[in-house]
Amino acid sequence: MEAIELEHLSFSYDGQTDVLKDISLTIPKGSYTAIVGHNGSGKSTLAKLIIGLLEPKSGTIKVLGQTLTDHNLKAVRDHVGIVFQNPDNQFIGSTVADDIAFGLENHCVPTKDMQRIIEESAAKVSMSDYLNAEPTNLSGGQKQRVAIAGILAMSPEIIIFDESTSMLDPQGKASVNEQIRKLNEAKNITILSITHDMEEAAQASNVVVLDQGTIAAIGTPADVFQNDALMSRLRLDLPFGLKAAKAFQAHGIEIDAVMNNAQLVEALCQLK
Amino acid sequence: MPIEIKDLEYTYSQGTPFEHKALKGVNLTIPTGKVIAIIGQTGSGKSTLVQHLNALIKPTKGSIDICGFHITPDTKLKDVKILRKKVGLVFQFPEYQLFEETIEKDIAFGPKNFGVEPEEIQQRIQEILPLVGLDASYLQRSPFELSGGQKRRVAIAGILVQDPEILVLDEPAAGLDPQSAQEMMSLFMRLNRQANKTIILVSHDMEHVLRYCDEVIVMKDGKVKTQMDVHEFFKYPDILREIDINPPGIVQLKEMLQQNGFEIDPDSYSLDELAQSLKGQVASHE
Repeated sequence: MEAIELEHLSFSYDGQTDVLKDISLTIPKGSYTAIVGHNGSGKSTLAKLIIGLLEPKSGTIKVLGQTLTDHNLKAVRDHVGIVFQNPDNQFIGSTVADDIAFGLENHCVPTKDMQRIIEESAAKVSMSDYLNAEPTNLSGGQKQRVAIAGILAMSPEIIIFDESTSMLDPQGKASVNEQIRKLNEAKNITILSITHDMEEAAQASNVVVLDQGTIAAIGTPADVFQNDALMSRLRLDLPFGLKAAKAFQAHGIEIDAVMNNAQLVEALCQLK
Repeated sequence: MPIEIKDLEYTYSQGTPFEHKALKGVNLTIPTGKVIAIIGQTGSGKSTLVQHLNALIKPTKGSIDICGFHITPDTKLKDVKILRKKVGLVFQFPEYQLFEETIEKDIAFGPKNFGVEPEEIQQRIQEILPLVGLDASYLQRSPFELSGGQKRRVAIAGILVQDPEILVLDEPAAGLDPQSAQEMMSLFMRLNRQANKTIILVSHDMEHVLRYCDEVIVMKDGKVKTQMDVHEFFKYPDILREIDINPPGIVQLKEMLQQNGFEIDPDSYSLDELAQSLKGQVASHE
């Protein structure tokens, strides 16, 4: 069974122009997929369709083997969590612990289990010391980590990140990106991350490039980022390590097109 | 005339249990005509410092000399009205402060309050629109129909229409996608190079600081930790780690190469220069 299967999916906000055009895409269980593309390419619309906030114009969406309908939407959502862009727009509780508890209360989790789940979830995102803190006093990166903890408390099989790091400073970005990678590696949670951050996309197992509502490319980060024609046509940025590797290649240094600084330095050491 | 800041101290909620000393004796000379970055951790005093530059807050102790004004704890706010025009302060996410029905009315709001004649306001708006990358077709539209990056440019146009000499921006590229962020930074470069405005930006993004700024001021615990030329500054990445900020990609790469026994020219800040340094040290075509 796949985590998410999209078949011939189209969507339009105004009934005239299609924002997504006949998208077919399979996201295997346990994978980490990054969706990149410019504003208006349809990235966030895709996320909203998958969690049933929008209804497709045509085509089907299957989540964990079930075709999404009005009837099973609630049941399906129990397995899918989403972290949005603005850390300030997703807080309900007056303390971090209350906030993590919110979803549990809605799902009638017995009070005796709650404290344990809250503590475990906070520990997974390294926020154990902040359970009694007020969310407003946290940094952006910490807020997003609390939002992730709230989702982890529901033990979902799929988590969608909708530009969740775009409002964070580089430190916040790094801390959330690390968290995403850990969730995928250690907990085997399926990750779908809509992102502008190419450093993050480079750590995914698959990258999907959306352009004007269609899939322009799909593959491993190495496949996609080394498609020079595509990257320059869409004016997409490259991960820094790859940019450096390409610049060095242009100067006649024989190294592979690697994705990050660590791999680059390793490759250079072997040429010494 | 450079900006002179002497023994500046600022205490929030003085004389109450919530008293908090945000600036603890800041001494700075900030040259005009340049692009200056102010960096530091959350709570280091960056925002408190920049709010002094147009007397939005007044010093608890010390003084600021800026654009011919001498600001002290005793300065009366009515005496610094003109300073507010000369120093434009743009907060984080300025697009949240748009409120008028049309973009034209929003941009005109400031000068209208300063009693500028409608014809002159019109003329200034015409001059400013191309600078921020918008055209006249936008003027009658609602600012709320625009994308995030466009809204932010409208908000900045609302400051530029006052023709400030100094533009102070708090995280001007935060929350924008990479392309919009780059357009935003190019706008400030144009304002500096073509209109000779002094640009002071508070930023966490070291890639921007390295690429666009001339000088860096590092704030720590309410004091100036260091003030340096940008290229000189990035030779000491440990200062950044001390304030929990990641160095730019190229600085990290240089450091890793040095740790692995490569000899790297400390003055190289482009990948091409770095490749030149490396060429003789690894097998290559030439």
